[in-house]
Amino acid sequence: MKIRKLRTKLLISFFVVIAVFGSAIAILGYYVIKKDIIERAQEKVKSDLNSAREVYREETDNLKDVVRFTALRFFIKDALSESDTESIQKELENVRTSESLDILTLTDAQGQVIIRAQNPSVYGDNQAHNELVNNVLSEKQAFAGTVIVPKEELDKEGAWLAKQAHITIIPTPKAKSSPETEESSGMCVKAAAPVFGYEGELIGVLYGGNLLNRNYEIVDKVKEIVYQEVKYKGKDIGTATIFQGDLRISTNVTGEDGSRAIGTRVSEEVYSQVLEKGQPWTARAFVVNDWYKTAYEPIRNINGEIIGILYVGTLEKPFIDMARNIFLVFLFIVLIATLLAGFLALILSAAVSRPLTHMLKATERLSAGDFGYKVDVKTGTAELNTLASSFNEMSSQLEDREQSLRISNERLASLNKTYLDLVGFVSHELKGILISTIANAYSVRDGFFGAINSKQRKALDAVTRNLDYLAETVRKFLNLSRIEKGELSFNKTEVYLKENIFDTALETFSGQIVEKQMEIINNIEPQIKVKCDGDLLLIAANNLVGNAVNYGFDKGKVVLNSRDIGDKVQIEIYNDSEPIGEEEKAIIFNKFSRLNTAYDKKIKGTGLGLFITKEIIGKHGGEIRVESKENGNSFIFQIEKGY
Amino acid sequence: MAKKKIVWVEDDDEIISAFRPRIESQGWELVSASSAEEGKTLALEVKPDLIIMDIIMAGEHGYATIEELKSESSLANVPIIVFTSVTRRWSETTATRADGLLTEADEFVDKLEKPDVLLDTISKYLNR
Repeated sequence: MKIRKLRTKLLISFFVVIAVFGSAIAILGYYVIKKDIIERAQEKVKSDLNSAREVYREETDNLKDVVRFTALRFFIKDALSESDTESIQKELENVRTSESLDILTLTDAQGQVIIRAQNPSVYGDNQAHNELVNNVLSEKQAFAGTVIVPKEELDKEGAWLAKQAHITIIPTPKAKSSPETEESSGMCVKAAAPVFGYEGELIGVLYGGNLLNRNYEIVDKVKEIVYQEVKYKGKDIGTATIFQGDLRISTNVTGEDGSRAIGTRVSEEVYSQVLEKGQPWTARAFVVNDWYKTAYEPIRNINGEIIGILYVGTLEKPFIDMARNIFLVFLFIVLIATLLAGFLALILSAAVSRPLTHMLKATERLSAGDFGYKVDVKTGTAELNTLASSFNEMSSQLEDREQSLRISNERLASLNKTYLDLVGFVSHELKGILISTIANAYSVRDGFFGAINSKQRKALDAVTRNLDYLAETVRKFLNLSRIEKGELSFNKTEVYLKENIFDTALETFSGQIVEKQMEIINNIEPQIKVKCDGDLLLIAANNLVGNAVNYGFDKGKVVLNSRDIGDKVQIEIYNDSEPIGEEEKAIIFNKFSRLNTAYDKKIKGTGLGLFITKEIIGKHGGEIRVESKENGNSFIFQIEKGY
Repeated sequence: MAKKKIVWVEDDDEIISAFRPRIESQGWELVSASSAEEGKTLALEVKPDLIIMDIIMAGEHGYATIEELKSESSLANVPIIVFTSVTRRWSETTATRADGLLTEADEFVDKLEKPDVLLDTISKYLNR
């Protein structure tokens, strides 16, 4: 696992949580907002369609009222009874133009046309087959509705109507395939009302109507009423279209050239849903060059047959933009919340990690020996406060312990100094006495102060031997006291290990070597020289060679070897002797250590020589160890060459 | 043949008296001085064949005396054996041979060595 700072870990955890929740909320928000807005757009277009239908119906109703009220007027009754067609035609034409109708035609009680306000030259044809006229004749009341009027009928009402109705069909890729290339019939809103005589008998039928083909009144009214002609970024927010069958005959959807896009047909999907199944249809559609929410519903004739489609489309962009704006605001809020959470995370992580960092520093100070160091116990976090208090208590205890330790150490040091001073003093005193005592004892023994007998000689041999041992002991104690008091100064000079140190040491013990008939093999390379304190190194060499001789077997071998190991020199002193055991190896370099071996019991020693040797070699940047061999022991040490 | 003469500068009479019969038995003449100043005077007067010098003495110490003696043209070639329990650097120590070699002295003998060591060293110079 990667090792990180607590604060980093906390921050990473916090930010992961914040990022996950932030993105989750943002994504959720996006979908919720989008869904809501889209649904709203859907609802809007449905209600727009309802409004459009109302506008359409109102048109029909208006027409019905106009026709109905006109039919009640006396001049109509008079026209039927008096047959003054010319003046009546003028009257009717006045009504037609003032009400801006395309058709206003009067028939007799059999449905035979008497006067066409617009086209008076054509009359006499029977309109009883016309469903509206037919209904009026049989029901004797007014009817209104949408009807398909064939070309020949349009021609009768006015040639210009047939011309207005004629639409060349523009091929539309998604439309239901059809062989027709043009539409010559027209779709009209028509109303018919009975004309009653003065006795209340039916004397004729008045019918009027408006051709919807290329008539933009209704669609523009829808646009005006439903959409208040609002434009969104230069585009009409709403559009309306009337279809004759599946053909656009009246619309305010404009093509790229700005003209009204009539002559195209509805897609096959809409055709099937609306025209065949008679169901309303809502969908998103790309109209001309923008996305619209669109709604379609069937237009039925008076008999309930589907003859066309009423369409409204609402520009989607305002909704999309609204969704985007709401989302942006929402995102901004989420962002602010995230930043706030991040900021809080920073503060929180700092609140947790700062005291810990302090405590960490405190433990570092503590481990560096600054006992008694205290941390702030008011961190604002209960657990950390407890931890801080415990730490401070521990720190105080450590300080107390350190204090008492220091005191006892000082006491010990002073005791040790007293002991060492005593050792030094006694040794020094002994030495002064020993010098002349030894010289005198030897002179007496050797007969310089008069002849002695053999018994005296034997006794004096023992005296001198013991005095020599005493002298050696005193020397070692003096060295010990100096080493422990740190009085060993260090004076490096260039020394040849063989000539200046080990040859000298071997010479010192030459008497014993001869006595024990030992074989000495000195393989130390003569050219090896080191920068060292020669005096100290000679003491070490004397100790090691002295031990090798004293503890070696009679007629045994003592072998000295040297080895160059880079910046150090290694010396090995081997003797044939009783191998030293593992337990003894561990203590052999300790002060006053004496080995529990047969040899040590025979040979006197202070247990100081190897301790002093180890100290001296340590001062030369080296180490000493002992290796027991099959039939002997090797003392091996390295010292720095110092070059 | 005239007896070889030794001047021994040593403030401890007991040491001189302990060694005197041993030295004289070798056929050498021993003249002793108990201070550095006396030693110098004696050496210039006697013109010895060898000088034995103690180091720690009341008054001038042995090392300074050795320097002075070696700078006397008449004594420059006279061998000097340092016989002491003191090294140059340590106030009190076991003396070492290497230490003595570092002075202008010719030899160095630790006072705690057996008497024969001093005798052997002297004869090295006088029995040539």
